Amino acid sequence: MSLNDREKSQLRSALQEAVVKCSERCLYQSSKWAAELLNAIPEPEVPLDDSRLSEVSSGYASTVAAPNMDPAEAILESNEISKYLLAKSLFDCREYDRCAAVFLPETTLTGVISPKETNTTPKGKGKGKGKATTGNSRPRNGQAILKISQRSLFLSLYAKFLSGEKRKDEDAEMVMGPQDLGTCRNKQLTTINRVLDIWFESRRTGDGEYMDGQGWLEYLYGMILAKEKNEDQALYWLVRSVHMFPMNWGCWLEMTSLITRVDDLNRVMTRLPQNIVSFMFHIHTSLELYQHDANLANSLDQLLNIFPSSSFLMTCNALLSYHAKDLVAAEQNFSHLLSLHPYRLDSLDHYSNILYVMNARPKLAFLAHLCSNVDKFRPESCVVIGNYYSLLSLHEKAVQYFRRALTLDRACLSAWTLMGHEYVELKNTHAAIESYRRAVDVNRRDYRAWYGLGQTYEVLEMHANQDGIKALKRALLADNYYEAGSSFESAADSMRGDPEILLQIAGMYDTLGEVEDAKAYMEMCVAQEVGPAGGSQDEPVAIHRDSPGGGSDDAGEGSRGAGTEGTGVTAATSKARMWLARFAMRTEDYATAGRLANELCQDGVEVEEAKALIREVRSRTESAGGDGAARGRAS
Amino acid sequence: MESFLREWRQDALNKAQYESAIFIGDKLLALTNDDNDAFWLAQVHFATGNYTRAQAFLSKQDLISRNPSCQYLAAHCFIKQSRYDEALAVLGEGKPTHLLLNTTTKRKTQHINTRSAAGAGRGITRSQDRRDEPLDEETANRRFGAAMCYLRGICYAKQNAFDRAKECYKDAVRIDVQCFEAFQQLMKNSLMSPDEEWQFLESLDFDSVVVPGDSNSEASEFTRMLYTTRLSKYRNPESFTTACETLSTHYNLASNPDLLLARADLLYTQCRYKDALAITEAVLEEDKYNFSIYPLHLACLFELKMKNSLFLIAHDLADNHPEEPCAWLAVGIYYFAIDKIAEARRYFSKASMMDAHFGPAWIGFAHTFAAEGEHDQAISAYSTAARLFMGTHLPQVFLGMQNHALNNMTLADEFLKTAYGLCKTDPLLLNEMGIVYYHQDRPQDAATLFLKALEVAEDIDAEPQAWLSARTNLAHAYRRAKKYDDALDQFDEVLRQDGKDAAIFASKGLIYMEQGGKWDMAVEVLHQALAIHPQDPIATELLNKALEETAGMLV
Repeated sequence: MSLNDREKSQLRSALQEAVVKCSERCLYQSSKWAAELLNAIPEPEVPLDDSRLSEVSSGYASTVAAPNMDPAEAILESNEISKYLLAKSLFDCREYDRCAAVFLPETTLTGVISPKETNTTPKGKGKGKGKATTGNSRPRNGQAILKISQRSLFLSLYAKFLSGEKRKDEDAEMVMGPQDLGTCRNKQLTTINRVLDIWFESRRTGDGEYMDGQGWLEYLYGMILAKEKNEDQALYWLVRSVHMFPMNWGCWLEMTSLITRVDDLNRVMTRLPQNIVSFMFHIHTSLELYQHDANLANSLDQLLNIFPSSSFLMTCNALLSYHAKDLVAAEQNFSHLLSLHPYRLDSLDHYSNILYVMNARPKLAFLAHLCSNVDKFRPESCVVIGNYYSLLSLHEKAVQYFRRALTLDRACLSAWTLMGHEYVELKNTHAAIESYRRAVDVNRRDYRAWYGLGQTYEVLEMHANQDGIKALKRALLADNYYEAGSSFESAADSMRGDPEILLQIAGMYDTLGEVEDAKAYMEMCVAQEVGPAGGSQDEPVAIHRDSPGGGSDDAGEGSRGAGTEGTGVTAATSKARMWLARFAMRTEDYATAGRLANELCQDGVEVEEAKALIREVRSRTESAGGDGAARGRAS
Repeated sequence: MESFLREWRQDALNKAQYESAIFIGDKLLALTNDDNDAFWLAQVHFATGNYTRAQAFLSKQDLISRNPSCQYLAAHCFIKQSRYDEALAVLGEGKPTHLLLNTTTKRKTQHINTRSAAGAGRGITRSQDRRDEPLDEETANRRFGAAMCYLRGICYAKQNAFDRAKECYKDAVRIDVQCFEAFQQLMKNSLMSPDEEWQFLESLDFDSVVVPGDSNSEASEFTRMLYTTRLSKYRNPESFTTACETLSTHYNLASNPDLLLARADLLYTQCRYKDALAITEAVLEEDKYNFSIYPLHLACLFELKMKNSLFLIAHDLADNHPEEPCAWLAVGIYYFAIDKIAEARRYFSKASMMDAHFGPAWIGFAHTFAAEGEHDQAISAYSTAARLFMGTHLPQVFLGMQNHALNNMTLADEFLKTAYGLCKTDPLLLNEMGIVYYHQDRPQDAATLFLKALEVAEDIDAEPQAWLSARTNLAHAYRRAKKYDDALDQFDEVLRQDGKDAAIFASKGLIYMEQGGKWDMAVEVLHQALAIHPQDPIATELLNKALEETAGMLV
């Protein structure tokens, strides 16, 4: 996919418009995103010809101030320009309440809300005062809302929303402190919801359809609905919004957070407009769902052709390698990105995770210093520093930094999960479970959190083993499902489980005394070595066939899919194999035991124990006078 | 048959397949029993690191006395085994005067030759062809003569006889100008003072660089320019820049690391650390383990206090190249940058142990003592550095500074004057000399020197930030010379360039007080000083005095 010059300049002006419009509405992150992308398009080499230059500059000048295409809106906007400017300045100074009050003073709001008698939720301070203006004021006030331009209405409501969020965070006090029970709510949500309800209602045409707005209020409405966990409706409004204004990246991000499965994504994709942003959305969301396949890499390459220096796409590229467990490539991508944008902190927390896994202490230290030099009080920086302390085994300090990250941004998923890991290290299992639960609450797709949760349940042991198995299965599902989903299009790809998780589940079943289940999972774990399609050997297939129904919803899918290659011999599979060999000894299946022990010897893992097993097998079989020993020797 | 075997052997050697080279070489020698083949076989043994075997082989055949190339190889074997006395015995102590003399005569003939070549075209080329054969033999012998001189130099250097080593290196380059190895030794360790370097370069016989079929002396000019870029940057910046420019424009060497290094070096001596760093970073981007560039790169990072980058580089180098002294230099510099002096010293000494001629490590080692105020030990370490690196003035400057710190003004003066003899254009040095004068109660002379330092700094276009201290000192000197207004001007200039420091405000206060009558202004300025540094004793005392005076005036 490459664009010709005309398309490029169209794209450029669309992005310019997006930057201006987003910053008019104080959607800073979206505006940043668009501006970054805008600058990633390579500039055409304009010959230094004066006539040409002037022509170009006149062409671009118009985009700096974004005029409204809708005449009615344009009139409204021009009438209230000074009030709007005041509101925007107040917003920029983070005085959200004052900003909202410029267009929506309390009296107007109470007028809008209070007539509705069924409204039971407490709704802020305006209620008492508003008593006097109830009654017949409603239509008038509804009118009042309509007299505001969409831009100003959005700004006011958005300010209200943010002020509510801010208050909510303040009420919750310390992260995981006594007040932080997850009961704090954003008290403005209902107000905003009501106002938007009325607004959209008033724009409903005769046939029940909504008149087309400009996309911004729809975005806000979707966001509010999502906050109230009204997800289907939220998705409806967000999709409407991107149809009207596709360049608002924040809206796409909201959609991403609503999508938890690949087939959800595929369903949504059919309802979306076909343009370059939705293309990016598809890639980004797939990455959020831990996808990695050739298609994705391909589309990413195409986009990188258009925006060769886009830091956003480069991050996606690095994450793609990370999800494909190609840590070295991911590390290189990130370090290249860092050298290009030394002050860009976004998604460096992923980089620190990679470095942590690679055990690259010097690099991680460098990164931590760099982040804290750029901005100490960004959640990303805190996560990086926390990771560094964790690598140094300074777990208390690590927890402190993850906490700080969460104070800065409570929706910081990686901080919740990592804090859980740290609490596990500190043997504070209850706190760990709490952290993991929060992580899962923030984002259901994070298999790492599910995995941690399951592990911690296992540590607690008491009543929790069943829960643990459930959580681990969730983890498996979260990890697996999406891999299976990628085979949606290409049947050649298949799902495979993480042997670690399988081993853990098997271990839990073992401690519960459910030996058959344990055996099934152990066998599944070993089967991951070759991958489900290692059909030339009949061994893994056989294993799948005799795995009992209980846990086989995963296993069944696994054996059905035609597969890519497996994980190879890992510590987990070796452990599983050892367990199976012992189990075979216990059940006097000496041939199997001998075979498994031999395999262990060949893999060069725990050779001593395996040899001991072989000897034992031999002595037993010889005493039994069997031919199993001969087979064992032959293999 | 023989030529076939020779080709085979050479091919194997080129591919570094030493087993087959030895195998074939052995058979070939048995066939021919030729000296040359024996030499090549020994060469292969040498290349595999079997120095003793090569050695034994050479001596058994009695080749050493017969053939200069074998003599060279044998000596090289000894050196590789660190048996320097024996190597010297093989090489012979004597100066190869016949070769040196030969040079001049040969140059004459060549001059004639080229001159006539300019006149007549074809006939001469044929005559050159005819002369080529004996010339080849002769050049080869000269080459080996030069190489042996170089080896002799190495032996002397290892025995800490630097003067003799230097002479040997110089001889080597004089005999054969293409003996870069020796030239490199001379330059890398700056064995010569800048003046000496230029004289030496002038004395070199670049005309001997002849490429057949190249009548105008392009090759020799090219070599001269290459060598020029490696000389000290203080003495002759114009010819350095011309050489640089010609090389980069005519020969497309603009992005060659060696040239870039030379340019970065120049920028560094001009205290333009950021520019130098940009260049070194560009080089390292291309070639990450180019060790020649690291000392400069590290120095720039240190000057710019980029501790984080130092940390990463130090780790990277120590992990990947623990055998390089540079890696441990990096570690030392990192520790020095974060004020862990003891560790820094350990690693600097490790680096200098690995390579006793590694100047940066010695200087760093000495710096660690200086930083802890152990002046005596610092002086002895700097002296070692000064002995090793006669060409740079820096050790002398540091020695001067240490003596100054010990209040040995005369000694300090001596050292600084020596340094000044080596390099007349280092503003830092001028600054130090000024300070010594200042402490000897010669404020006028001090002021002249400070002014000169500032002038030089301006000339070389250094960052103003780097010369704040010179300017501050100038102001102090003016104050001592009772030129109060000039002093105040200078102090204001310092403040304007962001040198906010309690001491400066205190000095201003002092000037106001000395000017008499300006007590109010003094009080104001002294308060500013105390706002920056509340416990500043001088400012406190001065303020008390000033307040007393004003109170007295009120009464």
